[in-house]
Amino acid sequence: MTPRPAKPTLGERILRRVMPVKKAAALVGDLDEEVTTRTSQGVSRWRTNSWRALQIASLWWAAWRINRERATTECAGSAPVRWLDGTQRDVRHGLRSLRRRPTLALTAVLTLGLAVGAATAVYGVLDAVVLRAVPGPNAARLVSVSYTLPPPNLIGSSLNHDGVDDAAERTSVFERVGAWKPKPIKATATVNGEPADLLGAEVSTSFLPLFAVAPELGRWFLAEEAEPGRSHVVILSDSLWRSAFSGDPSAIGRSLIVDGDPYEVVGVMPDGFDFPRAAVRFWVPDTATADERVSMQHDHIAIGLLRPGVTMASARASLATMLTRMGQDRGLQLRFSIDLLRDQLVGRAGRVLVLLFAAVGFVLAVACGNVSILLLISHSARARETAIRLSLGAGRGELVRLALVESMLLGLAGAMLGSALAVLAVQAVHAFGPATIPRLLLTRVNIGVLAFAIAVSIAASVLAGLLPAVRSLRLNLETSLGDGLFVAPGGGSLASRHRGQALLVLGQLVLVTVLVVGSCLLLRSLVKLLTVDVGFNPDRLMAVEAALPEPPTSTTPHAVITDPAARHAAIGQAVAARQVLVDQLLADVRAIPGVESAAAMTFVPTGSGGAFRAGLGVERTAGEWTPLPEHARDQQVTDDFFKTLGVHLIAGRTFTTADTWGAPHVVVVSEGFARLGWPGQSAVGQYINENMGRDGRPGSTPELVQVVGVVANLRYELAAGDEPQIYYPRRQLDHPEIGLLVRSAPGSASVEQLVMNRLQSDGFRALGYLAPMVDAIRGSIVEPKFYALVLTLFAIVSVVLAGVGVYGVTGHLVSQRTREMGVRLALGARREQIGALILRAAGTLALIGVVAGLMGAASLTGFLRSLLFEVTPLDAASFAIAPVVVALTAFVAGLGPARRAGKIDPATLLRG
Amino acid sequence: MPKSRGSIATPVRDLELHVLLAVLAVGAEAYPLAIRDAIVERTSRRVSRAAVFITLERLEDKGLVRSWYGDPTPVRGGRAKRFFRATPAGIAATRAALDLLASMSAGLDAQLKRS
Repeated sequence: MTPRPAKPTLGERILRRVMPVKKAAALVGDLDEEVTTRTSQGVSRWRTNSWRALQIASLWWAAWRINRERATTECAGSAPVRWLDGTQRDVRHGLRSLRRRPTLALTAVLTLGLAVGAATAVYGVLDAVVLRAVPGPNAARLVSVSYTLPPPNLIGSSLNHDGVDDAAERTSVFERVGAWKPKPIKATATVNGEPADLLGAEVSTSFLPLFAVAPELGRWFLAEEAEPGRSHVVILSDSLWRSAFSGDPSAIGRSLIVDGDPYEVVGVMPDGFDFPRAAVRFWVPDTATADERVSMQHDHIAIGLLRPGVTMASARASLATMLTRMGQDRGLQLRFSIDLLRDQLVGRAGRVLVLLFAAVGFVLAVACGNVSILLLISHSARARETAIRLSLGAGRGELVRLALVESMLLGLAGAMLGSALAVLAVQAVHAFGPATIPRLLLTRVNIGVLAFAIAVSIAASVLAGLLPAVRSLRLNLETSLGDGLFVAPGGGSLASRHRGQALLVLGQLVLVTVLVVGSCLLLRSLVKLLTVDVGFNPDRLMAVEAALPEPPTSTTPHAVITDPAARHAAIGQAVAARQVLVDQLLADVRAIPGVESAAAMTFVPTGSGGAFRAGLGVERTAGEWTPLPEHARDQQVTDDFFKTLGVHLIAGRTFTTADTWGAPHVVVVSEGFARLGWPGQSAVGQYINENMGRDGRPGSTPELVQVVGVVANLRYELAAGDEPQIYYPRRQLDHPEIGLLVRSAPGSASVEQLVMNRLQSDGFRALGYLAPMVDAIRGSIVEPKFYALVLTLFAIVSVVLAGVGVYGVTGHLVSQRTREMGVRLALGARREQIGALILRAAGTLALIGVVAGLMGAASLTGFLRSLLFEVTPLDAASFAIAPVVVALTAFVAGLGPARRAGKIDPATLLRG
Repeated sequence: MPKSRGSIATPVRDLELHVLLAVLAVGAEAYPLAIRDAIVERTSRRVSRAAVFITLERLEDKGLVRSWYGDPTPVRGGRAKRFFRATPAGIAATRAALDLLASMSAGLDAQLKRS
């Protein structure tokens, strides 16, 4: 069989731009052969890759050259060729001119490279995490819809198929709807005769078409494939198709063995389609039966494709009406939420990345200012040369073009350096980036990202070259060619000559101050996080999340029961049946030698998930319900949860075995909740109404629970702050998953494996491995640490760049005023006075820059609020540190030129 | 566009002559990698892949070599080789260049040995 061509590599795609596809493939094939030889000779991967990149670049250049030769032969003398020749001449001139000033060229390229590298890396991350989070052209119209029932009627659930179909039928906002189960399927498939553990997703048959990404091979699911019995079909990801079927197109119709059963392959999705998460390798149709759907025990998330032109607001309004009606039909009161799918998938990380992108924009602007200053200085040093050119008849337009070509050359070199740095930065992100940011590991420096680097670099360099280019238009020939003592070359007074540079440095100092304040805020917040009290004792405490086994007795799906009393009883029965399983597990775990205590909750602290309860009301004055201003984090816990975790009981009691479904429903709240709900009053004995409407008014039938205890606040996420927390006894309200907490006895042997075995033998499905809580706490600060470090890195780079800017401008000031200073010295001025003159110039710039920067920071740090922990956006310490850093930088940068000014020898100068 | 013309052999440059000779030497298996290896082996001259590529393209434009694609092979990631063969005009040009060298160097053996 003819092997199927491999996917074109980046190098091949680059070569395809300048030659036919087959020719490019043959050349890359030649290179691959050599790569194989080099690898077998033990040449390192890094060296081989660098060699390959160099070869691709030289082949690209060769192809470009041969194309040009052909074009020249065929259309010599035509306008494009003349233009090309003209450009070539300009480029040669630019290169010569830069070679004459290597320090300027090197500094400018390094500056641009650093900033472009940082910007490209951040763009690469943004591209992978945010822009590509939802594949296909419909990303801006795909919304996620979920609804929940007010507790304690039901476990929080999402809109199911039944609801989805209703939504589609009853509203006009959606073009199409589909649903998926957020919980991935873990399956063992036979790949190349070997069993491989894969993740798959269960989706409705209408789900994949929503994205408008056509399968690479085969087709999407058919509607009838959702029916039980017809559902043994699978759609593969591109990577699974390549590994399991070696990319063979005849895979369609063949079988993939999943968990021992053959599934017919009906389609292959193209490379890059990896919804809902990168690790998903296959999709199977959701086969929930009608009863299961109605029972809402199968968590689904509905996705709707909004009709073109429908806004989120109108979709929300339309769904609200529809869901209210749907709820009324079933005698339930539904709460719903609708979010843009992309926002839901990306979450907070997306917003933070946009902030980092803005920050890197500041770095880029500082770099741009630097290059502009360098070019201005160089331009002013060459003013005489330019004046001579003008007087010999060169057009001003031509001079502007030359200046711009020169800065574009710097831009191109900056782009190359920036791309290389971005590749390194992306490798660093892979190695050190927090795994909690979804899709972060998919960050690549691909063609789009490279194009971004080149575009940004050239735009930055042109922007930087604009001011010097315009200056050449305003050149005064008479003064430039003269040699006046106090007239700067290029004409104009000194003040006006330096105004442009001074303004650029000022702008830099403003931006740098903002960045330094921002990074100080994040660093201070990080320090607070590292020293936070988590509210419980994490020593010897381990946790694992696990799914409950199906209860032994079948229970009637309660949502189909319309009689409220009967439904209430059915739910109680289900909760009790599940509690028996949890009690048994806890008893078994406690019996393991070396286990001190064990308990269960819903989501373990610093774990993967959490649930929040909205619509809670408190009764501060009799008969008047006030909505709680914040959502409360809710947990369903077993009786000895507080004892096992070591949470301090402040007032009242914790739960007992008597708090069952039939008993009055009770809760324990955190100190933060009590403070928020009943300021200045005791919370114990108070009632909470769980049926508050979105309008802040209580619903028609109050659903009351009584507070029986107040405990210390727990840090579920270190950065969560004093959020209100509410605890329900598991015997009254449960969840299909538990977070099992085990505290081992001091000095006991390892109990992890025994606990995991016990979980399995009791029928629980572990969703991870029993891990020490101390590690989890450490892991939970990885993300804030990453953001703080990245922003600090940006701040450091920009401080260095601004230092170079100040140094350039003050140095230039010295060289421009050397003669004047010589005269001053000859007339009796002291050397210190001359040095102070320069330092004063730098100091004035720094002072104005810092003051304006602090004002800017004060108006911008609000955007960082969500990232800060126990530090306000106007934190005094950060606002005090930043000016010191910036002023010190300006002072150090001005020191060299000031010393140089002090060493001027008036005798030599005036003689010369 | 081939530009071979009648009985007058197309003049070839230094590297073009080397490449043509290498194409003839390697024979049926002449693809860029083998051609480059043949030049390096016979002359110890370092030739870049880009130079070999440009030269082969120029020779094809002049109608001195002809290229075609073979079958994809797995060792090359499923990519085909591009093979080259000297055309009659190419063989004539090679012969003419070698003849030129021979006639120019005739009777110079003594001087050449001396230096």
